Amino acid sequence: MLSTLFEQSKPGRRAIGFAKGSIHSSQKIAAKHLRKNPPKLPEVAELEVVRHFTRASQLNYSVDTNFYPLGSCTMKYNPKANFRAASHPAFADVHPLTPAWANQGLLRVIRDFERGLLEITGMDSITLAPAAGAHAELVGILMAGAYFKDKGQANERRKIIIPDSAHGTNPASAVLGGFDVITIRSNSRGRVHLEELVKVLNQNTAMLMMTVPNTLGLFEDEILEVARLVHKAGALLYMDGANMNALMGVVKPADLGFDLMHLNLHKTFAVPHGGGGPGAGVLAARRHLEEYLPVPRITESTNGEMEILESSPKSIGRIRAFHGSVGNILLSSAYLAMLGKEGAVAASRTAIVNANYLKALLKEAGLKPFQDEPCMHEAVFTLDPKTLNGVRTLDLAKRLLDFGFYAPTVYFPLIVPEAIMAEPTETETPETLEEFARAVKTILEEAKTNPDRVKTAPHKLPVARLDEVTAARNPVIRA
Amino acid sequence: MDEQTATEQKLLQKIGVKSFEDLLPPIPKELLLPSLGLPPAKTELELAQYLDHAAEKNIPLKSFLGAGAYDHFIPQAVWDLTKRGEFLTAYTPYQAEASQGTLIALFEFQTMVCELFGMDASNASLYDGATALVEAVLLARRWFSEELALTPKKILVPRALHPQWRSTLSTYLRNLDVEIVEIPYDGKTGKLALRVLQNALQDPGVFAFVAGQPNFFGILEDMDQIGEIRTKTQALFISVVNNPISLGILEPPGSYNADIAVADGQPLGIPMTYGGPSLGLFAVKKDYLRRIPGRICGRTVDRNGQTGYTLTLQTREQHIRREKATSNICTNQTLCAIAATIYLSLLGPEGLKEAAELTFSKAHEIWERSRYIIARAGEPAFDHEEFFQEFIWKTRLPAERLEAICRETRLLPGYPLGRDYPELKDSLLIAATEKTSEADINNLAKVLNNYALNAIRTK
Amino acid sequence: MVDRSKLKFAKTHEWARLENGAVIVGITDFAQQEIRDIVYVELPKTGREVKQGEPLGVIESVKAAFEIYAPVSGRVVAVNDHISQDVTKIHKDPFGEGWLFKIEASSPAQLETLMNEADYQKITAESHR
Repeated sequence: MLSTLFEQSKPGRRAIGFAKGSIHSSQKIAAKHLRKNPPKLPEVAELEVVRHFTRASQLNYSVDTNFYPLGSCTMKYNPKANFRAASHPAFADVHPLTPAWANQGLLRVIRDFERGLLEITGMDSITLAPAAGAHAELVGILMAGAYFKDKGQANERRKIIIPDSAHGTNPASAVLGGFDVITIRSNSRGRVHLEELVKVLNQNTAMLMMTVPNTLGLFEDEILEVARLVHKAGALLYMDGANMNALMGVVKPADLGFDLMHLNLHKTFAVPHGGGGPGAGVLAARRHLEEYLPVPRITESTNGEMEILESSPKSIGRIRAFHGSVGNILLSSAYLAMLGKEGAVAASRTAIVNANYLKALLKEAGLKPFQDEPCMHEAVFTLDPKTLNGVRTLDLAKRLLDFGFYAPTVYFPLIVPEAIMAEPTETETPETLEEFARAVKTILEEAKTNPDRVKTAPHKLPVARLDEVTAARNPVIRA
Repeated sequence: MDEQTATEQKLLQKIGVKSFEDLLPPIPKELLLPSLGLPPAKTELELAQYLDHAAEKNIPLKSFLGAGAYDHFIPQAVWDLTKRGEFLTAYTPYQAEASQGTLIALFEFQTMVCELFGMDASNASLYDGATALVEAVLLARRWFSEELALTPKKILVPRALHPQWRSTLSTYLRNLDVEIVEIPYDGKTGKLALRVLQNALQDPGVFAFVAGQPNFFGILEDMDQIGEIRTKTQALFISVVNNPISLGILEPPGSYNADIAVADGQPLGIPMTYGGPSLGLFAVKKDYLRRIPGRICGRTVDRNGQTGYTLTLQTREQHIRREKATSNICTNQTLCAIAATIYLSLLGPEGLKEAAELTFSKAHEIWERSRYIIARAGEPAFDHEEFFQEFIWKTRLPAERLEAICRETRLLPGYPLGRDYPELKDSLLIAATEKTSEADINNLAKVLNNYALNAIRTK
Repeated sequence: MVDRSKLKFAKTHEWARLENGAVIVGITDFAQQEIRDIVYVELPKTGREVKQGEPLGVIESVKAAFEIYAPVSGRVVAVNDHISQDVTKIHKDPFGEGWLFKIEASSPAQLETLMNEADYQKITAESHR
């Protein structure tokens, strides 16, 4: 394993420097403010830095190098052309407090993109300020709070209903937004359980949060009835749009009855995941919730001038220091511009076909689909360790790494035992999916003939299986 | 039939359906496959032309804007390395064995954040400085409720803290039964009113207090005294570092008794790009380790005893704890954290010190050059005895006149404070970095001079 | 060796035993096996008042967290500090050295609302079916 740069450090060695001796005697600063012990940063030459991080990068699997069928994460290819937008010096160097009159071009690009997203979702108004999906969820939840406060129902409507198959961020965001969470279990078909919903839906309900397609890769086929019930109870309907990759040009969430929703630009709209971030979130809402959107917002005057709305009486306020993760917004705006009208629906179409194809292949390879019906953009499987000499989902995941594939999402959603969730995305070829299915088949056979080989995987990576128990018992989190 | 259609046909056959439509959900047909009112697809060339056309509408400006985002120098190697596809297009390192590159970089990042701040533990980053402050406040609140079984409801926040950060904090806390108490600044020095802070801390209902170094006005606070105040209260001290580059020369939060330290990491090699993505830095003393929000990377061994890295302490997080998680945060800002790690590796302790000194020096040069102009057409807002990279010039010219001058000169002399601080109407917060050149300073002096003449004429 | 016939069991997998006027609480052998590798235990502070069934601690494995519930109402009078040093004690000796805390019960009769070992084993057998 690579040693850290701290271990390579030699006192006095330098890479980048600036002019020395620059503080004049007239420029005073009291001794008590001055740092007594310099921070122990690595002291290395530039070549050492370059080699270290180049070698480090080579220890990673990535979309650029490997198939990455992580369910729920939408690891699609991130077209290089998108960086034309994000690294354009006219945009990358803009200070966040630059007045709108000097920033018309950038604001126009963002506004064009906002329009595109409104068209795809069918919503009426939008903010691109959230830093991630979970951040956007919080925005939606705070907006719901402000909406009910306005209606004089803040004290009654304290509960947010969330299905047990939801992303963990949903309940965590609801609590941060000051609401109580009611979890309802899914029905045997993996959808929202209507009877369970009716039991808990009442004048205390603020909102139902649903993921569409849900985390099992299934479309909530009773959504219109759910929407009717929720609205009849006076509550709002929220869509977790993490899986929007299945819906572009297939169906508009607003048409299904959603009042507000979020999108993850780092999933559907091709912002690279960057090893865990930065992402970017979007919150889109119907007209009746527009005035609660966070500030600042981009608006357009009648003469086509772009303006910044800094405050608004009913807005929930700011959710971060500045406008948004603009660099990522630019990546996505380039992506959508190159997809265009036909490309958007074609992307979702291929994502759905690919997922169903992969599902057929993996079923044939020996995995059991959670639900034997067409899926949307991803499919969930399970396996039975008892029939595989005790080989578990985790072992399969680790062994897949040896075959040059990143593992699917495992043990999520929580309601499926030994869950395996695979999402191929639209950018993979059938040949890659076939190769992946062959690897799964080989491993399931190996589990029967040589289970230890699977249980001790990976064998061909820079490190063998890591001891996470020791890491958590005695955390070492700095050099 | 084109290649794409033929391929789809083959796949559909294997799936066992006749057409794509058979895969669609059972909802009314009129809702399915709506026509999208989007423009036709652009080729890469057309995209480039569209962007260039938009870019022409952006007016290039020389600016002395700071106020929480700083135009520091970014060495070429930072993004050449960060943008490698293996970093750029990897996911969160959940399969640690296939993610050692990202993980070792995060481990180094956490170490550097601890070293910079003089603290014991850090996470793998948060969204930005403002949300890092929010998470610090929430940690302090949990500390009281979980560790001390108390539920105090107040936090003390300086008026001279970044207004957008304060605003973010109040948005997050709007439904959480926490009261934000504002601590004023001294009208002469611009520093935190320590007496008021001390008195406010007599209230047992306070669970945390915040202080920034330097404060939003650029002025250096007496952190030794504020650290001393911490020793006399149970409330946690959350320290805000306005610009982490300043830690090349300034005492770190760990040395003045901060319990939690936060900063926005943008100056560490991240382009401003109109405000994001940024990088929230977050560090704590060891007592609070298991209450840190967000992802944490840890060092461990593999089954052969070889060193390796993995995400750890994950039970704090939303994907496991759901409504009981320490935070709702799921992503971190890995790529920006890697950029900051490379930036700090390239500079080292000496380079960081030089960047901080040069920044300090440029800001003071502007201050000295503008003083005689100020005497003619304004006054310093405070005595500015000690500052790092920013100061405030209180003009006698109405802010409305500013725009006209800026448009004409293509120079933004500073951030107008009137909107956030009515008492500082017509005042500008002026910032420098090590990039500020002699020519820039001459130009600024010219504009300020113009400003001064205008102000005299207006009288 | 602990005499298990003196133990009472909660359906949330805690055991409780009255000794010298205080109720000693731990998690069952079944629970420690299910959790597998315990990495951390968060115990209540002494002096804390609890009601029966209220969560007052957490046991964590690498990828899961389990609440510990108070089997009886009362005040926490002692916690097992050795556990924080070495969480594996719970795996090695769940009914003995792996005890977690002691509660001074406000109404010791509440112990009688809990199960005996035989009934508890029926529950765990069912969950394994």
